[in-house]
Amino acid sequence: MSSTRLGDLLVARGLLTPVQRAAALVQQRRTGERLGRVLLTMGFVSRVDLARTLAAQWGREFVLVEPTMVDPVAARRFPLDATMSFRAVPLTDDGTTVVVASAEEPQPALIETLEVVYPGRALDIRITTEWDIDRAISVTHRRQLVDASIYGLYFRDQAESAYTVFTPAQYLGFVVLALGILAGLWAQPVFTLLMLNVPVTLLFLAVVVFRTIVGVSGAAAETQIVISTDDVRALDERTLPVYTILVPVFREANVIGNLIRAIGELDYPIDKLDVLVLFEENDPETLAAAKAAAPGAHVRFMVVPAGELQTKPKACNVGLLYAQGEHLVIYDAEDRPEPDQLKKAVLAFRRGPSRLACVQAALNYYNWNENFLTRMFTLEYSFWFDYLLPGLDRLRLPIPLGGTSNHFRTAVLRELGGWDPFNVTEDADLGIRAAMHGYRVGIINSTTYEEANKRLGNWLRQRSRWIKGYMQTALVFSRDPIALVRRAGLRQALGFMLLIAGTPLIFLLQPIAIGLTIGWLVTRTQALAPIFPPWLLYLSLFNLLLGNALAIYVNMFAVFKRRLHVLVLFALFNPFYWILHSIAAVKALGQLFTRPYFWEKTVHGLTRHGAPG
Amino acid sequence: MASPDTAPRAEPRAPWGLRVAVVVLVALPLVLAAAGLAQDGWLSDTHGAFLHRVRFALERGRLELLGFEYPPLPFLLLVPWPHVAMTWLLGGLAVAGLAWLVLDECTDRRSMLPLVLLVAALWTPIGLHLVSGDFNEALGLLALFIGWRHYRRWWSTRQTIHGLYAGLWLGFAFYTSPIGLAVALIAGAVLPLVFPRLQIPPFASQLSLLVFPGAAAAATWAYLSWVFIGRVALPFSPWEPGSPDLWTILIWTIPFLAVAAVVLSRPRATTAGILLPLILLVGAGRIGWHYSLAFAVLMLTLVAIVALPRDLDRLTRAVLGVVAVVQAVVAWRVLPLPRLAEEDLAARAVAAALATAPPRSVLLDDRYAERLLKWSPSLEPYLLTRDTGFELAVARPVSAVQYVLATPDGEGLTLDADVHPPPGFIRTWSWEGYTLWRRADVPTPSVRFDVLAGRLP
Repeated sequence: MSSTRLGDLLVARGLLTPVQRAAALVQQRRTGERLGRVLLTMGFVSRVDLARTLAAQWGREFVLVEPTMVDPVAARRFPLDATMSFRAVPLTDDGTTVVVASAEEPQPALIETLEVVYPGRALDIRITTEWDIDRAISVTHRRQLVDASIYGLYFRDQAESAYTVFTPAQYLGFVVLALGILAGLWAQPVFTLLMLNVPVTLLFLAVVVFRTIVGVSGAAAETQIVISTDDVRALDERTLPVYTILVPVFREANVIGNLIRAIGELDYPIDKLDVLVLFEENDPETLAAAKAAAPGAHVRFMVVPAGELQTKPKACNVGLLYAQGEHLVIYDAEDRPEPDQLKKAVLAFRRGPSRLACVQAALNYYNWNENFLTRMFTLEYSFWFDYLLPGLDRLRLPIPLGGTSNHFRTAVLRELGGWDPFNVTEDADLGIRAAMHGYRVGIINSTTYEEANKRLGNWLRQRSRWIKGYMQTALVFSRDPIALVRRAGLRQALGFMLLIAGTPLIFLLQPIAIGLTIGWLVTRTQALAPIFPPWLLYLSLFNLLLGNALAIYVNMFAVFKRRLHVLVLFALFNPFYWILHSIAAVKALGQLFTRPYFWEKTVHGLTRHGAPG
Repeated sequence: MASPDTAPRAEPRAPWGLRVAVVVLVALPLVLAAAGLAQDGWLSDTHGAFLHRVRFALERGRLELLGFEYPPLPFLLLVPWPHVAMTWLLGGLAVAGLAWLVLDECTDRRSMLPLVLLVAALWTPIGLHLVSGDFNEALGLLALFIGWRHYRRWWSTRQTIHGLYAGLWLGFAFYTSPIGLAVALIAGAVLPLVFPRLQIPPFASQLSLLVFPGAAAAATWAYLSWVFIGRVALPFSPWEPGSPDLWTILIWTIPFLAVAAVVLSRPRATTAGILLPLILLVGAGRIGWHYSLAFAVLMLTLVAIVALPRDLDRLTRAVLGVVAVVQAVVAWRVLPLPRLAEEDLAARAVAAALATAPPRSVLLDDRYAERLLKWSPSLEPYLLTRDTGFELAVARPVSAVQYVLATPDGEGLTLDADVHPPPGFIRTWSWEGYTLWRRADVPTPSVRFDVLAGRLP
């Protein structure tokens, strides 16, 4: 082993200039990261040169690993999680010697594990690049990767997976309910309609009260700024952990370059970033576009092996297997996170309780003023992320995560089983699952800007998927309501049911309520009187008038808080926007029965508006 | 006024124990005095109107019979317990709330002058009229004051939560008085004075945010009235007496005028705003949004309190305090305590006489019987305009009721009954403008009003 330091060795080999070494050392002192990684991310050395030099420094042989060099039988004998954690792949095993490629300096733990897996063999550990390791794993452990990313959660705990859409008990319950209603309508139609009207009205009332309380609590949460810009400025970058950024992409060749640029603008030491762009096998165009953007060495491209399912959570699960960061965040291809978001997340984890599993940043839209749909979508997001989620946080209720910009403790995420690939709102599901396991989800005061859907068809596809996912999540966690209450607590369980189950239910029932109101206004019929006794009528009117007014008002303030003054009065159009939700909910309900796991792709890159600078 | 990045400092607060003690000290004498007045038989026309409408709806078992009398909040608050005690308890609570908030103003200014101004206005016949005479106005003042304080915090902290609360409280105030909507409108309209560089989009959005809840409350009220009674009910209270004139208000708000003079002597862009509430009161009275002298005095007192400059020297503070105390002493010497009118004594005696009549046996046009109904312990004996069968009974009383009562209150059915005896009815008695007709086949109620009137408290 050479005692010469890495920088000197590289200079001596003519692979680094003294000026570059000095610059890298300055950066290393600032961030505390290993010099090799600093040099790579600064673009001063290539991976191959670095690995070759490190091999010399460690007194090991260097090897460039081609997939054909790997004996799959020998490689698969070494468990996948060990392969991932040690960044080492056994290449061959001739019965006497095992040749192993490693991207890290071999540590006693690796050697001990290898000796257990391959007893009686001599170990020949060679050094290679991280890319070679990743490529070798993706080839040799392809099936394991597919299984782990699709069925990992299901095999760990079937009860938490949406693979089973309806349990037999749920099926039975629905059938009994439907038959009961039909029988009631046949035998006692007025009484049955009244009995249906009562829970529906009470549900509307409960949702109105719940959302108002949570929304106002969220508005009040601004009196408690969690992390200020001064806090971020005071951070010592040497103490920052490695941060993994997962970017699952599919058919997004038109926007992937922008994302890579946005990640480059993050205020986080680049040598502590571990960016994993996750491509689908059947999407070479996006991969080509990403390569054309020529990202730095901190960006890794991973091709997700095709399997029985092709969904974003499956891709994320693959990314989770490869993730090296202490923390992990997901961004979509069109995302523009605020530069200091990662640092705020780190601070939130440091200041938060030990059971804080995840912090969610706010999402909003940079093309908010493009058309009616983007304005309404921005109104909705402003309420959801600036008022509702902070309100849930303040009231200690389960928080359904948003699609992106959720920052995790990677170890906890692995403990929770990653994302459910069968759930089409895997993020919301994960937030609730975390609560069920006693973890907390928090909120940080940072925003990621996205592209709002500007086309109705595209919006309906996206929205119906979200609502279907909420239905799946509600079905998963209502399989055993007693367990839900026991594990999460009564208040949390009620909050969860009102938000996750209540939202699709309200959207499904809303057209009926609107129809009855319009029908009565037009005909002034007395036929509805028996199913609207006075007390129920008053509650219905409260829901209709004050419920809508309160929802609109809180929404007005949410966009005002964002200084989107033009949108304040657009909140008055919310009742029309909510009708679109009902259309999406009907579609979602149909798909729940016909194509429960179908991931309706949202097309991005349609906007003509640029992202904020 | 969008959100800041850092949390502002918390407002100073007096210790809880001290606040509770002060609040009790301020409100309790008024509540006890109101209870004493009630014990002596005092009931204001306004509280009487609230109570008999709520009793009517409850006795008939149909809340919608409350109709669309404005303002709706006092009716809803009295539904759980439609008793006179509830009126002054609610009035006392509202006054206690005001004292609680004014104490914050004291802490904020490090001066007891705000509390002195409040107490000097409250511990007078004016305050007593407010608590024992119109708890709705007291609640309205409380809602407006809370709304105003949030509005002011919205300015100073830029936290949207205070804007949200301000709008909600001002909107809520509409359910006690339409002045709430006007205050919201003015609060939004004066924003360019507070922030001279305010551009049009943020100004328009803030104005909308302040006005929306009140507008939504008004729209809700209009829609509900249209649904239930087929016409849009306007926010006017028919039973309310007229508002006091400007001179009367000015005479009883000398402390306000003194504070206004102090404020106007050091002009800033916003100082003229102190006169806006006065203009608002005058305008509201003109368009029929009536209020009592107590409401006007307390409202302007609260305006004076929030307008008090923070850097007043000790002498000015002392002078203002003395002015307030002198005003209170003058009020005690000049203003009458709540006292029953002669007509109330007669109405109470008639109500007591008819209290035991069989249900729906007395035909009465309640539009002209406010005073009588105010004193009726139960409305069971009466067949009133909102009862099923009233029109039929008017057309052919002999087949529907046993008695027809004519009142002295005004025009309409009862007067007609007074002039033209209902067919098949015989005049039983006539006293102090009340005339009772009985059907020929029913007994005459044996009543000596002079004795009865003397026995009642």
